[in-house]
Amino acid sequence: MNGLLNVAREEFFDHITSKKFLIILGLFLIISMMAMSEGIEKYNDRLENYNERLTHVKESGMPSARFMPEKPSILPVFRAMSSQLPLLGAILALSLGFDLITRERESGSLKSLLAHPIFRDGIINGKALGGIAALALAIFIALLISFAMLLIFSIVPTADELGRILLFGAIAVLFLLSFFSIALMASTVSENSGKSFLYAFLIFLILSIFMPVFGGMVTDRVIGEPPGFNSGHLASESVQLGAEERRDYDQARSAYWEKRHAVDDVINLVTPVNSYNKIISEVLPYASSSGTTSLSLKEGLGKIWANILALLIFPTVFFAIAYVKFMREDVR
Amino acid sequence: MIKTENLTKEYNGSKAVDGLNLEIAEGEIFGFLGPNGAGKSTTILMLVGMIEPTEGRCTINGIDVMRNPFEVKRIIGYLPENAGFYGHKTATQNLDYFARFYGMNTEERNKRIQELLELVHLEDVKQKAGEYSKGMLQRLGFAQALLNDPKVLFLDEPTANLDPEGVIEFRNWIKRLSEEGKTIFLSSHILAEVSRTCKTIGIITKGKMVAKGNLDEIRAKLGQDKTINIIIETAGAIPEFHHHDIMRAEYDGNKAQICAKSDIRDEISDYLFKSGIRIRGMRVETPSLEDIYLEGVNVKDEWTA
Amino acid sequence: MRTIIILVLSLVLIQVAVVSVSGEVEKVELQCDSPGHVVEAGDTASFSFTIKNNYDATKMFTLRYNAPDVPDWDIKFKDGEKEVYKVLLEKGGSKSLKLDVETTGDTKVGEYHINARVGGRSIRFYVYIAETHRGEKGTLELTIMDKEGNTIENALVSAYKGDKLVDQAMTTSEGKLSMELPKGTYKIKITKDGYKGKEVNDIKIRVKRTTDIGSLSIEKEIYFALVSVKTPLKGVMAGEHPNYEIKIKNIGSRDDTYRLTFQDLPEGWYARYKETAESTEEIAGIFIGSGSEKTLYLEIITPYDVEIGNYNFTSVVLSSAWSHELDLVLKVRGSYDMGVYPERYRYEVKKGDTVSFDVLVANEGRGGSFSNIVAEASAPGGWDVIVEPGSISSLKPGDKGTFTLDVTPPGDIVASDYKLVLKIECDQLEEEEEFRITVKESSNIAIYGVLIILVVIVGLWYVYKKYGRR
Repeated sequence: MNGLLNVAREEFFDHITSKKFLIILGLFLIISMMAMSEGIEKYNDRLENYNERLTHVKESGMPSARFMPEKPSILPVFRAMSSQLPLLGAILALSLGFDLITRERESGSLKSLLAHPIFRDGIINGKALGGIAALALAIFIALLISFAMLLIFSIVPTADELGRILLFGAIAVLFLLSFFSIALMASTVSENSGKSFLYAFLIFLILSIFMPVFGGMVTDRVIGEPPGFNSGHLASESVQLGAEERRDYDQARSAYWEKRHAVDDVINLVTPVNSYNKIISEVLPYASSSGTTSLSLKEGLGKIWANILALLIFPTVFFAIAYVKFMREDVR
Repeated sequence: MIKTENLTKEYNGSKAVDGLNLEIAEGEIFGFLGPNGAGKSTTILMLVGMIEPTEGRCTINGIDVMRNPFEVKRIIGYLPENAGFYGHKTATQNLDYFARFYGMNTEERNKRIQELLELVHLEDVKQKAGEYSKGMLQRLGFAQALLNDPKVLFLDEPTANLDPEGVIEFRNWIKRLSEEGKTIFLSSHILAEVSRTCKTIGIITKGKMVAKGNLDEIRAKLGQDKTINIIIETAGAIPEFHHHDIMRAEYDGNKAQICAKSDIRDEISDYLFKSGIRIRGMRVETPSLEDIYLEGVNVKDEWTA
Repeated sequence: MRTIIILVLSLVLIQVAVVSVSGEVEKVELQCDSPGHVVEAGDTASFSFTIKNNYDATKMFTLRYNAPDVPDWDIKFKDGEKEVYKVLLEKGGSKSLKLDVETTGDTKVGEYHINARVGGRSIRFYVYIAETHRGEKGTLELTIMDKEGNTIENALVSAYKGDKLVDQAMTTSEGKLSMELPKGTYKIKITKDGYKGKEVNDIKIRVKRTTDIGSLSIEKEIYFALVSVKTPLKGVMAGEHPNYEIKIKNIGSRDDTYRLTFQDLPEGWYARYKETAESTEEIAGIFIGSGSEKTLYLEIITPYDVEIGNYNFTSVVLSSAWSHELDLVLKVRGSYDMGVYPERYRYEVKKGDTVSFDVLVANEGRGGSFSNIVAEASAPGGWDVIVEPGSISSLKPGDKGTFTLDVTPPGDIVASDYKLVLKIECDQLEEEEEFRITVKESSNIAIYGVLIILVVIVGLWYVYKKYGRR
């Protein structure tokens, strides 16, 4: 445990003092803040509009609360930041992780390190912990700055909004952890940093770009179109069918959707961006835009826990690969 | 203190270390001698838990290295071949990082690191490790290996990157450490290095131990089945000579060099005498330890080939 | 042509007159050179004739005539400008007299005769009405002034025949009035805000004649104000609050305070007088100096559920001496707007289960009530959708009602998204809302996730167990 914390501490300080961390974080912050300030402007417009409507309602003395306009939420402002994460955040996580083991192997420091009383999983965990801490710090800084921006514009979030923002931070770290674990795994299994980067980047491309964009297409290709005589189940008036025909059709349809669901599930499971986006849309809802009453945080969490679980799969699997690979590895 | 039983490591079917049995007593300085690629490093790496033996086991101070690497590492020091460090850190920072694994407090760490840096003459170096020469890295590696005041010290080609002065200094360190009662396992491909510092020597080639013991024992062990080189000079041309012990012979006019399994000088002189050829001189070349070592290594080569 | 006819006729008439006169020579001799006149109706025919006393003594003669059967003709014997009815003649003396026959304008075209008799002798005069002015009017002219002799404009002059108002008009800026009236005798009433009224009786108006009754003076009131409203009829959207702009000008001779009230305001309505349109401060009375003018605003606040329609009410301005009522009309227009608010647009239900949710229907229109609100759901075949209640009888503006939907998909349905359309209809309009009902199998993703994590953990555990920790 002592060894793990030592590694973590070392890694953390290494990360946060490294140029690549500062450059990518800086880039992330600049882009997020630009998007945010735009969001804040929009928020202020909406707030003005809201106040006007409120005054109107009050002045005219309408009795019903039904007509009270909905107070705009600042949460969409944080959407601006959250949308940067799948790309820039992932790149930050990748860049922090891809050479953690390979670099030590290349410089020979790995042998020096392993000569001392530390378990190998302790090294992986320590590096992971240090990396997460650095990523968490990055997110924390980003949130802090956005908070400062809000305060500059004299916007004070409500308790619920604050809770959601903090939850967003945690989800963001979890999301970045997925990519960090990929990079760390790549670094563990690769001979050198170059290959490690290549592997990590390839996996990133598949998970972040290919799967979200082409996942559905792939499903369509693999599973094909739904069976049927008509555009199917969305038709509100069912076509009259014979009993036998009906049963055959139902069976085919049932089989098709079961299969399709399984494939969709798998695709969603292995697409962290999908899970992340689903979670974010619950945690940071675009309130009132669609007229949908946004769920309370607790209700929302109930809906997305499966997605949070899906996000947990990546660190679990990739860390496990890294453990096993590293533990059995001959350090020569 | 160090014991291996049938220690074997296979890489892709070829055995880098083949059934190595070794026992080194506490306080011994063991020189592990062998040509490059003979399996020296592989053995050390197995002893310090960096690689996993394919077969057999090794213990240090009775602790199984594979089973309990953590405990083993507490009592050993290891200087890897071409020691590497964190290039963006100074010597102190590097050592401090490693020292923390032993649960030393800040004061202990600072004191120990200061001592060691003075020992290896890096106390005034402000550069980062990335800018060090190979020799400096080697010395830092030495300091690193001594951080925990280990009972057993593994040194893999420790003098490879040192300048002559450094080499002499290094020998003194080894002597002193040995006097402190540490068991030292030193690998080298240079006999001179090993013969000067080590009390016991093991010679390894192609993964197998070919000789083990003190210098005399090695000489005897390697010498006993050694070929004998007989150099003959005659007045006239030397006729070809046949004997079942002769392994090869080179004739060059009135000179010949005969390599035989046994000392057949008597048979040669008889033959030459009978042939009426005068002998100007005939001598047996006594092999040096170096020669014995090299021969030994070569013989083993042939055996295994 | 007409002149020729008249000429011929005149000659014939003269012949007759001469013959009649020459039949009786003796005691009284009546002589007229032109006993027949052609006139326009309304004109006066003036016959000159001579009376000669052939008695031996001075004798007094009474002048008489038989009027024709035409009403209102004014027939007078005149000696010069003087009306006479007896003449005294010496023996052998003679006198020239005139008979003025003032015809009326509505006399029909035709010949009329008047027999004049003097001392047993008679002479017949003929009047031929060549052109009639029947149906034409006469003119009344007058000027209205105050006591100081200033002319008064815009005084209302009403002409009554009996109790019947025949016509009324306002005086010009010079205080003059010229009014055409059918012939007759009139009562003229003069009224003017801030002045005491005046009546003048027995004003005769004759066809084609101007009756000028000259200057009339009226007296100013002590307390009086002019109250006017800019637009007495306003149209607003329900929910809007109109302001009526009311002007009060104190034209009495004294300063005055006016109390402001209203009458007949519909129930639930509220109204207030304000000094400016923007103000929210209500005023109940206002002081206005003599001769000054102030503008007030009457704000009408309708209840939120006001119905579309026209509403009449009266603004009443009470002074010390009188009250003034302004009849105001507010036309409330409205709009029908229905808001349909489900809790969510997406519901999840497990196969065979029932999902129940409420849909709020709100009348967000202005002024218009909804009646007979019915919710009708259309779902894919085999679905069971129950909507409670069957209908809502009415919803006033601002009110809301709730429909509860119990949706049960068929048990053998495939897990997927389905569309449910809810149509809310009422007599006024209809709205449609779409819902997605997600029929769920079970959360596979979570199971896979847990499975993967478990497998990994077990795998790790196995690897550690086999190889130990390094």
